[in-house]
Amino acid sequence: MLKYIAKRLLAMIPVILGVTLIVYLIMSLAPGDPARTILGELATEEQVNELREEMGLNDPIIVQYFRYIWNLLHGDLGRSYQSRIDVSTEIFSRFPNTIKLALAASLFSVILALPLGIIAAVKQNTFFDSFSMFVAIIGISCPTFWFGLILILVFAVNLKWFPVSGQVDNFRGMVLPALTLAFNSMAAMARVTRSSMLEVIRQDYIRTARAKGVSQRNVILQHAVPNAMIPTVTVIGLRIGGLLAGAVICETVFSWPGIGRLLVQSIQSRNTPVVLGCIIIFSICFSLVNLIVDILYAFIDPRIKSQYQ
Amino acid sequence: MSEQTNYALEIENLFVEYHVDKEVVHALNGISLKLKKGETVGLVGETGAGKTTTGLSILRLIPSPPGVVRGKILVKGEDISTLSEKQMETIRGNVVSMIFQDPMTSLNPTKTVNDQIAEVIRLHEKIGKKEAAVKAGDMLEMVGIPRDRGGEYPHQFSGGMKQRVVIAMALACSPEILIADEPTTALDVTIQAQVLDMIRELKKKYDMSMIMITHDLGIVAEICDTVAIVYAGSIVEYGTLEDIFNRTAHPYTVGLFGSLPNMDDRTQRLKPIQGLMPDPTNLPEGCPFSPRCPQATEECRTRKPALRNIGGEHVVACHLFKEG
Amino acid sequence: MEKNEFKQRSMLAETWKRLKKNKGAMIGLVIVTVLFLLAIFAGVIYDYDTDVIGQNYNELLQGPSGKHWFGTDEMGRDLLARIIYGSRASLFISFAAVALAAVIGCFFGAISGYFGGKVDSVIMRMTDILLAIPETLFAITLVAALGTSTFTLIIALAISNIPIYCRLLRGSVLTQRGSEHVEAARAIGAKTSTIIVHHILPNCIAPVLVQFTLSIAVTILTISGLSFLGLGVAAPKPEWGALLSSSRSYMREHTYLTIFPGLAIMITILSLNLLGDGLRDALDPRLR
Repeated sequence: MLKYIAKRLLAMIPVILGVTLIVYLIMSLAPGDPARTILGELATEEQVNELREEMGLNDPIIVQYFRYIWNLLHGDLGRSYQSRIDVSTEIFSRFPNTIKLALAASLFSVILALPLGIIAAVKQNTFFDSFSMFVAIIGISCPTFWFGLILILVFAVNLKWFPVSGQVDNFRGMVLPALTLAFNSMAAMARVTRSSMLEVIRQDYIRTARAKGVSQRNVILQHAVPNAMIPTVTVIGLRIGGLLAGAVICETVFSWPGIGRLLVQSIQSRNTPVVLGCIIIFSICFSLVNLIVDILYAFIDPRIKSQYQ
Repeated sequence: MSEQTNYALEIENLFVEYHVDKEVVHALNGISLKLKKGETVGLVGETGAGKTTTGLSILRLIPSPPGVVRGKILVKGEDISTLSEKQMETIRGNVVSMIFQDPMTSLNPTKTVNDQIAEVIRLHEKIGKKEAAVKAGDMLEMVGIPRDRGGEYPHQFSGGMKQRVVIAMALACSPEILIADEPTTALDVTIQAQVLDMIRELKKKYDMSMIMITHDLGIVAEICDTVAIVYAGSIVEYGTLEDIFNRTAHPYTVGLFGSLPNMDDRTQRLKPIQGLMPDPTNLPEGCPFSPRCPQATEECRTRKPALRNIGGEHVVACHLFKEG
Repeated sequence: MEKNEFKQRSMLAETWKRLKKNKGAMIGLVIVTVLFLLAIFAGVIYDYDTDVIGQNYNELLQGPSGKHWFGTDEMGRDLLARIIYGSRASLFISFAAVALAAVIGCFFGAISGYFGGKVDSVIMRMTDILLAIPETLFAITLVAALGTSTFTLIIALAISNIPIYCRLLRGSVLTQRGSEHVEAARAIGAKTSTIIVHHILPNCIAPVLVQFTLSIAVTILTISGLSFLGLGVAAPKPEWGALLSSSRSYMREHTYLTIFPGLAIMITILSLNLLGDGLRDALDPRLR
């Protein structure tokens, strides 16, 4: 098992390097001279050149990239153009908020989606099935930000149950943002759970279990669900990755002080180092989530597990 | 059990229908069958004749909806249709066990082999986890698999080994009735013989009654005491092994034998039965075999023949034969 | 050859027959068709300059009425007109991006699957990297660097959609490559390009078609999300996400400004998803 994890970790390194390279190259396409941006219009050509030299902007792009990676490994993501604060400080002061939101949303969606998908499959073609699948297809069709706005209108503005903007430090302030972020992934997970349950329920080994005298309930819980989880976990992983991207939008809707909102603000103010840092952090998180899912996958599918024992 | 009976299993006038998309699939059309204690009956017929459906009805495992079951099934004299689901669960795997056709797909891929055998033991016998695991190991050894392989998963076993595991699982609680649904069809010929020998021996050892579902008359000759020929959801001929093989009556049974290569005369041409089984959503009015029967008369096409006794236990559903 | 064509046509007919039975898919198909027609003929119903971007200070923020079914916005513009014109942006950008992605992705996927070996591993590593960046984030990166424009959006969304098609086609080709009709074609000495184009690709169309429908849906969502953040289609050009973004300031008093554009997005995506689901079921009746 350790060997498997090590192998997956190693395989992740080139992917993350590739991702950072692509993002770095794209961001370097941004027009304008960073040195000029920092110093402002009034600075002389000489001053700008001096700063360019100091920042290493005259080196070939690939050298700049490796210097960036080297600094990244030391926790240094450069400095913000505007505030001149370390980007890493700025990002990591907000990072926990994003993690909080993403975790709450992941929990929401998994806890709601799995039972919903399982029950819908077991009660196929009943009202419960049709209804929950209707909700699910609405869920995957509904734009995150619109759902958030509607929730604000109904539960914050009219019913006044929850605050209009998100609040990091209390439960009530977290409910609406987390629900908003969760809805889409919950719907997708419920759909895939249902369809893989339907696939599994048809299998011969389910009939074998029934023929052994296992009760209907335990056939579902002990025989069908573990097998149905194998394809479901992949989708859960992808969706949790998707949650990170959704966080950018959700944080903007609820004014949530996370790195998603930081990213949007930095783009608007053309603060390239912060943008770069945010996107790279997001991408690394996404890869890490995928890694965790892959490992989980090996745990529930003995066909993979036994290859590494 | 309520009343004493000589029969391990009695099926009376069993009908099974599936209602799918406004169509009705007539899977079983009034099957009656009695199985004496310790006896082996062969259920023979083509794919789709309703053999597996019969087996599943005995365990009350016909999915409903879309399945509708009518008729009576008595297990050791008790009508299973009157039992609650809980009571039924104590019968499945304990009194009546079933071995399924395809060992490749009959085992749960996410559970170890030992766990799957131990599960059925723990369901029906009041023993602890450890004891059940030990007993599961015993069962594995009995079917010729070293007990230390019990911790492995089904994908690590070959087809023949998997079928042995399935058999071990079916026999773990020493059932009184074993339904073997084409237990060797999915296996290589050499493995087939081994598995068949094992089933026969274990049957003797546990003194079980058995229903052997197959389309292979060779297996029937080797293992069965009595034979029921099933066609389009009905029994068309029933008798002892002797009756069926030496006093073959029904034209369909004759046809089945005609489709076998003759080992003594290899130049003889095979005589396959012409045509296909009737569509179970649209069965012919008269004898279901009449469209393919070389000897069919007008009567055959309009009136369904009832089973008639033609000597001893030998019965046949055909207008060509008269009660006698 | 003729026989093969016949078989294909009957398969299509069979698929269509199954699709027609699926109520959801048919509703989806009808709505998608209507949306397309509306987008194409929007110019016949409304005049872009006066109805869509022209400001009208006599009719600011009016609720839904007989004259303006969906009401008017903060500049007195008819919301329905803006929504209908908005569908042009969403549909055009998403179709262009996904079509581009499908062509490029399928090309590399086919090469990867057919030739295998080093080519395959290089292409697969590339897709791994692209898949490691979520679609929205990739688009945000590109827009952040190059600024907002329709062209940037199309390129960004196309690139992030490439890996899906690449993987999809690679998988199909791998199964097809080993199949008997391909072996037979190779045995009679058919050229590699002939084999790929005539014997392998036709059998990969079905999954690509399903994925196409679903990608369009996801891409429209992404576009509206980007516009909502101010990183997509720029004002005063109408776009659904942008309409929602500007409605936020008036959300409390003028709810309809928030509700209608959102409904437009949701109904579009819902129809596409219903159609995609239906297509998948119709092409593979085993899954249901």
